Amino acid sequence: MAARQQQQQGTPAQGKTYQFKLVLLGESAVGKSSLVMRFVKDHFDEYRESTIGAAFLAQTISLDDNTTVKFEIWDTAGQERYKSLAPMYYRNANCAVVVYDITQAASLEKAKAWVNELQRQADPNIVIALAGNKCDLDSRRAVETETAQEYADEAGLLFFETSAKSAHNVTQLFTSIAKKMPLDQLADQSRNKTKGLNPRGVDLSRPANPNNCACKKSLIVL
Amino acid sequence: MYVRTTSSPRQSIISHSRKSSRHRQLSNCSPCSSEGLEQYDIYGFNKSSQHVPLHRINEFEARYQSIMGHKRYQWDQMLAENGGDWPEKSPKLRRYIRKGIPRCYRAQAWFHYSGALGLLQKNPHVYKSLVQSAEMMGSHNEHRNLIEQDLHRTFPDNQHLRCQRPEIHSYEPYSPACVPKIQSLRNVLMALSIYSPAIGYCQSLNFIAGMLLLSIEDEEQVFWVMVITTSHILPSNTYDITMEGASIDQLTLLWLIFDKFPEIWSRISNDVPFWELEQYERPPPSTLVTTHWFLTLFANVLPPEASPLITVFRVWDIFFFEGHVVLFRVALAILDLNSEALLNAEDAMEIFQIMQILPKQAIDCNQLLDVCISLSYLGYDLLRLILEL
Repeated sequence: MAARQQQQQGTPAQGKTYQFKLVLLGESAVGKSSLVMRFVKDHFDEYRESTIGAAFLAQTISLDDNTTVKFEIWDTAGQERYKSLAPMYYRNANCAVVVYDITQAASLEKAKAWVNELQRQADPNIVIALAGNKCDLDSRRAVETETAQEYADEAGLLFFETSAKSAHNVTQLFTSIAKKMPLDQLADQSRNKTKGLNPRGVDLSRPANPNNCACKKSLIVL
Repeated sequence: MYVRTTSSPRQSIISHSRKSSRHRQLSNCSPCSSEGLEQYDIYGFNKSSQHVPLHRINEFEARYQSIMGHKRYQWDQMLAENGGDWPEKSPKLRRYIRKGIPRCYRAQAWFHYSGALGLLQKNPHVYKSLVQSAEMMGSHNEHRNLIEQDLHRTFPDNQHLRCQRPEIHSYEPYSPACVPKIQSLRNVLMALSIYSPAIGYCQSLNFIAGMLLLSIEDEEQVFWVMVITTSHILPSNTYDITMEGASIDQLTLLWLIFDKFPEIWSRISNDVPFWELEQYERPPPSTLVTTHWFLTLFANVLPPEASPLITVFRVWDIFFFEGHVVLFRVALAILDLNSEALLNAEDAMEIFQIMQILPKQAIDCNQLLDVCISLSYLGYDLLRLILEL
């Protein structure tokens, strides 16, 4: 995993900061960008522009006095056809939040498809969390908590029902991911792996998983 | 001064229902406006933004209005010399358009020079029946849900596109009387999804259609501008399920960055030469940002704030007249104008962050467009063709 450990400046010598690439996936309009805005800026807009391509934000959380985790968050476009760009998002991702909307049963199916793809194509050690968003709309619930929990257990995912609007479980979601990251192992790995690893933990020199990037065809012709 | 419509096809347009809208467009032409330095611009965008302080926008606006006053005079002259009709395409007209179409002529100039007018003339009743079909299809249109979801996610801060519905999660249609622009946006996108089944609906079209509706007003005209944009001006397959046209554009842009701005290239690519990208099976992450730029034609990328300077409309002036090559030029101009920040960035991620924000600060459209036009690079089209093979 291309995570990076660094000594945090201005803190005691044992204080460590780990950087992880986190990617948000899920159907359109389930609230991916809203979850990120709540987590990063503690802000919620009733109406947000649809995300085209991807947006990038960073947020740091302290696990304890000595351990800080910095998430580099890739927020992605939800529409199916943007999927050809997806390998660019999750390549080298250390963790993923797959989001569905508790009022839209189909969005859970879509989330399952993303989980399958991640488990097949992404880094084998990736930590995946399932987030059932919009849980403030309980009166219009279409996915029972137990149903999603059962699936998450089977698939080995962290699971939270969240509301970007009310902030319910948003911090908990990201903190749990941070806690589940194998920090010690990563620290060992990152020490041995400085060449080609850029300082923010995204390894641009590493050959990627096979993917269906549309530019590949053109490049091969070239 | 008015744009006379002597040819019979154009008369046929006027004789239809657009007569009133046309008169409204032209009546905007005099007197040359000075709409005051208010919070909202004439298109309904909030001028103050987190990216540019309002006083800077107002300063630029005051300067820009006097420049545009002169341009307006030149356009009046040019149109008068041509008997009040739109002149044929010529180097002089191209020069005028590159300097910015006066606002009062802009919407109709786009409609005319893009070729949308011609399409409407050939298909006089098509739009109306498409809107009716879309209504009848209801939820049988597989794109309906996504379109409905995006209606309130298209410039949600704009006065005219602001959703007034308290309940956002229901997919019941808005009341058209309540938010007329949103109803128009729905009609245009639904009609397009039926007219171009290969495209259906692609997120980003909502921003183009929304922006067009704020300028052209007549939704039927907007529809045909959308058709000509997606099927003629932009490469085919840009918005369809493969989005292959968009990928090839990005590859072309990468090559241009590699070729023209080697230092910036080395930062965004982490020193991977363009020709070795294949080995890594991926373009650099900055492509995700520039994909957004191209797919929305910069609609929600360049600043919409500040009334007369609407940077994005200056880009569209050229886009509808000269074609999609201007997108490459603008992208390169943005990188060029911000090369210092990009070269000082720590890594590819910081570059990504800078690229997300910097176009929003490009309020000086004259500066951007001057750089953009000076980037004479022969052969975008040729290069694109080679990459497409």
